[in-house]
Amino acid sequence: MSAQPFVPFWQNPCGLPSRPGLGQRACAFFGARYVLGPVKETVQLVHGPVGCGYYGRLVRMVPYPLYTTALTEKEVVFGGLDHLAQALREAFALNPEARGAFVYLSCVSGLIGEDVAGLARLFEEKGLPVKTVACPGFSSFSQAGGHALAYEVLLGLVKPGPLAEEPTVNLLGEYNVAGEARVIKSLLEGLGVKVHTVLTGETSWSEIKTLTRAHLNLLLCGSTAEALAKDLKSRFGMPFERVSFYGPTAIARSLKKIASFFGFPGKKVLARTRKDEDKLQKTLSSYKDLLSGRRVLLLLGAGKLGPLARMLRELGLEVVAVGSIFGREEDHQKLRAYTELVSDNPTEDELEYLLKFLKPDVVLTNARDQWRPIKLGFPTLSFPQTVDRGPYTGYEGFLNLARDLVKVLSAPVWRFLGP
Amino acid sequence: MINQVKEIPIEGITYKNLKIEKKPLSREYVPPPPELVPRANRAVCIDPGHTCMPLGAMWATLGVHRAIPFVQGAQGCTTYVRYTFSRIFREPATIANASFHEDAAVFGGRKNLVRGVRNLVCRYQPELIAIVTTCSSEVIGDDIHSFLDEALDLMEEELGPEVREAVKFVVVNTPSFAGSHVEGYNRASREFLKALARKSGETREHVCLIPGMMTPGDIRELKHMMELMGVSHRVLFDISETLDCPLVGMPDRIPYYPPGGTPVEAFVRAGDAQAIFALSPDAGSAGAQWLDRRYKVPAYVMTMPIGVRNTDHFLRNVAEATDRPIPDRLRWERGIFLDAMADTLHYTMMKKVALCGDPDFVAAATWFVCELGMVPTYILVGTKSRRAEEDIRQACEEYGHQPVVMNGGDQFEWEYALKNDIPDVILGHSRCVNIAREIQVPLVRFGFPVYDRVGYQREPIVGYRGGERFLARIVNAILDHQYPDDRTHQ
Ligand code: SF4
Ligand code: SF4
Repeated sequence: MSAQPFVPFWQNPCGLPSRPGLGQRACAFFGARYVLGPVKETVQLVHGPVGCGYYGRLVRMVPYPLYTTALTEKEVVFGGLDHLAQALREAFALNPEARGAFVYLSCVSGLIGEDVAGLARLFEEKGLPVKTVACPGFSSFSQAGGHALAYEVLLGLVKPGPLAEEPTVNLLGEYNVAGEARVIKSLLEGLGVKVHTVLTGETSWSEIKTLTRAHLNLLLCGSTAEALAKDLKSRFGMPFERVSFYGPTAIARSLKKIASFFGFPGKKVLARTRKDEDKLQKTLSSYKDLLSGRRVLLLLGAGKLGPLARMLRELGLEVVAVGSIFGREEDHQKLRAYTELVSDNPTEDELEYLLKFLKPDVVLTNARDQWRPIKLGFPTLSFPQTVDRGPYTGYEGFLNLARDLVKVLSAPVWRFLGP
Repeated sequence: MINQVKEIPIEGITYKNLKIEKKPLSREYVPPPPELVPRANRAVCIDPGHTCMPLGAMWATLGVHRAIPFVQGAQGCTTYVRYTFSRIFREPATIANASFHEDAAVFGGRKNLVRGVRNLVCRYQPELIAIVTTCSSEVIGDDIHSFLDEALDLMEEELGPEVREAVKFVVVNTPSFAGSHVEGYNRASREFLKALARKSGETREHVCLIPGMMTPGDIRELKHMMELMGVSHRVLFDISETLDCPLVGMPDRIPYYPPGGTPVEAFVRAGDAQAIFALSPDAGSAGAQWLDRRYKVPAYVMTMPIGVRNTDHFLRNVAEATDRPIPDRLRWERGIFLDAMADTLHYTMMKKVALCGDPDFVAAATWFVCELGMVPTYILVGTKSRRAEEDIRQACEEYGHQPVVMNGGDQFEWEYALKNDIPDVILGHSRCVNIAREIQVPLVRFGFPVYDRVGYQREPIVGYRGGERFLARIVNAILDHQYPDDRTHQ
């Protein structure tokens, strides 16, 4: 690693409460929606004032239906449980195909502390399963608390059942950004492995119930779904493997792991990945000249950081600093293999100092923070990527990432900057 | 699809001839039980037409020079708003949050505010901090003023007495269960003036404008009109140079602040203004009326200047308040606007239009579509507003229309009506995209929020020039839709 210039950078360890006034974290409800939003065959309802429901509809820039009880002063003062019960009945009436409901508690309902769980039980007795997601925004330091809660709720839906006949897996912690799950599925199909369900990018209430059909769980995002994988193992004896389909090395390694689990001949896998990789390298070589040696600043949630850092290295870029929003110690440990500058929940001014002193060639950050580095004149790539940018998983995805990096780096607009 | 058309009919191809498969967004459309359609009959709210109060207060604060909103609540309330702003404006915006965790929910947010404000002052050196409360801090019952006193005492000890002068504070109470984002802006307009405005006794020849949640482009158009009038003016909450700024590269001084925004000084001087105009009655009238009551600055609360009548009305009032004539340049702009209306009347006359959005926008736009000879059918006023309803009624009475007005309803009820009585065009915000696609009707985007197309925040719809642009937008949407194949126009 090249010598780093002195950077006035607060290196915050992970897992700490947020510093008031600073930081970019979201709330537990945001995290719960992140995970549960796409689950089909459900009615989803926030018990709270209108705002949480208005914003919460959008998950990773895609709208998923979300109802709200839109509490008013009256209900806040006199209690909103009847209102909620009425709203739930209506929601079921409007969605006859729904198999169950998720009721999110936001800050207000969390504070007034009603017996929503009791109400849920009443509905359950009538054959309308209602799951409470107690995720008031203040209940965790960041969205990570919401992810965990959401997966606990999903775990509660799983029932034991017979195994599928052909080799079948579940994908855990795969959110199907821009069709990434589709790419993974086709890679697995190439091996002869079926995917039962994708948690939670492409799943439904009934698919989660029969989750135990699969022989193996593939854990794609440790930051959000690790606990679920472990619980499924201890409760239902389902084995899991950590895999990743970001970047050719990881793909080859993961496919090998899966093949060996199912006892498929490793040679066949090897031959296939070789072929794909050769093809990839041919197209990549034209990009690599522009990318190699470029210095990157990474600032993202947590789960994507590791795989991204790896892919960037494979493309020949150098990661100069990493900030996570809700990182875990494991995440940071992995990242320290790339740079010494690793911090959790950096603030906007800390980001600006980094930009000023490190002068990275490109910044990778999330959609709502991308405009600051752009304004200051830094080529910036935002996450999650929009559908038109395509998936980043698989061989084509690796190319997509390289192409997007080339796009932001070589855009002529940057030439006009400066005095 | 175009390939399936064997012959090009003389009169042009319409979408009907193209036989575009209708793909409704929902798998199979099951009509809802009719008794559950009206919002008033339901406890559940589906696709609300408005969001929560803090957003409006943050919007206003971001229009002030070197000002930061500090949101007293849990983190989500800020993240979501930052996200919304970033999608609309594509600009960095600093919004701070008190980061309520479990302990704040139990013991209150004193510690969070005291530490948070200090952190902000030390790190960002703002000139103003607006404490924006949320549902949670209001339910907990935080005593913001006493917290603030404590914070100031501690900062004075640590940083010296200058800190009291250097940073101004405004507290805006915005529990969202008591109103929408429109009301949040309204309250902010009052609280800022309450906290800052003074009367020096010197007469100053200037007027103040509170634009409401207009876009940067609209605000620039307002300034343009005032300049043509030769009126010295001050736009309060001027987001046109904070949320729409040039790309500059690394500034000498970090953290980055946008160069513009209304200086705190302008709020102080508002007490001496000749007049104050609230151009969005539901978002800003509280401030204007307070100033009128307190310092006898005449307040003009009027419909947003969209369309001919509303712009005329605005300019006439400015002329009256400042005793200045309306210049020829503005008459010229008005003439061009009228010319554009006459040129395109075939496309707009008798077209059925549905509207959706915030009360101020929708009320003004209803006037405008009536002037274009369009027929408003279903109007969703996102936030319940008596004033907007009255305005709409007046417009429709004048032009002889009888639209259904859903005052404070949700999008579900409005969309259901549209499905059963399909309009020719929809005027609404980006959240109307789904219904527009589903019933295959062009959507003309305007109001809050527009985030799925670029440049809308820069293009004005107010004033004569803005009206002409808005008209072009409407006509082009109709043309694009009715004549998708431009071969027919060669
Ligand atoms: S409705 Fe209240 S609690 Fe929810 S986001 Fe808005 S201010 Fe926060
Ligand atoms: S009110 Fe609470 S749950 Fe809702 S967005 Fe704000 S922090 Fe999140």
